Amino acid sequence: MIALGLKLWRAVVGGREWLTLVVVAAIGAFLYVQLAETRADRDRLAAQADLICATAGEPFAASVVLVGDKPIARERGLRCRQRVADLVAFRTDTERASAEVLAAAMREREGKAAVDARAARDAAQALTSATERMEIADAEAERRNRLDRDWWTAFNDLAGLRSPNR
Amino acid sequence: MPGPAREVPVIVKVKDTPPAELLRCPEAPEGFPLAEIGQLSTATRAAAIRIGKAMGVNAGRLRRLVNWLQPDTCRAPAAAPAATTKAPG
Repeated sequence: MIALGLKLWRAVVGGREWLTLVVVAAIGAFLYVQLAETRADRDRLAAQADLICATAGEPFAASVVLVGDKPIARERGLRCRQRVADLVAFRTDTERASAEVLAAAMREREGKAAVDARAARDAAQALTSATERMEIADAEAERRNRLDRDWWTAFNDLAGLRSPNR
Repeated sequence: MPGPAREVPVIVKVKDTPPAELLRCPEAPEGFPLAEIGQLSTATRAAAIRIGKAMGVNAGRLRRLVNWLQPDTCRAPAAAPAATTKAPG
């Protein structure tokens, strides 16, 4: 057992240059594979960025923008980022403004409904009392077979007519 | 590179105001002269009461509708005749 170990040690010490080469080659191969994967990953991400930015409506690539007459360089991704920020702000503002409009409409409706409920109650009361007066006056007219001022007053009131000047 | 239009709510309140003609308050013409017509048959009186009542109810409903569309436009007529009716027993 010990003899075998010694033999292996000697072989390693004897073939040192060769072994170093193998180790370096292995590391190189590992790094090469890593780099290839990283590149592929980066290309996929760049393609994704292009696609996302195109969807948002601005290019991802660096570009030059004219502000008035002055050409201004925009770094890669800046326009796209601003665009996305604008869209997010737009969405937030829109939702808030819409909620405000809806809330205001609901408040207005509630107020109207309350006012109308009061008007309906008053109208119903007025109708009931006008009808009662009309019935009393009509019974009197039936009894006396004669229409007096009361009957016509009750009638004008029931029909919502203005009282005559005479 | 103009950004998207700001402050534009998706839900917008639409003002749907009916024509002015439809927002006029119900008319309240002057009523019959008091005690000028002394006799009507029972059936005619009943018909007159029916018609008068329907007129008053319709006017009241129209007033409420106009007020719903444009608050505080129409007022209920002053119940002036009510005072005179109660006087004689």
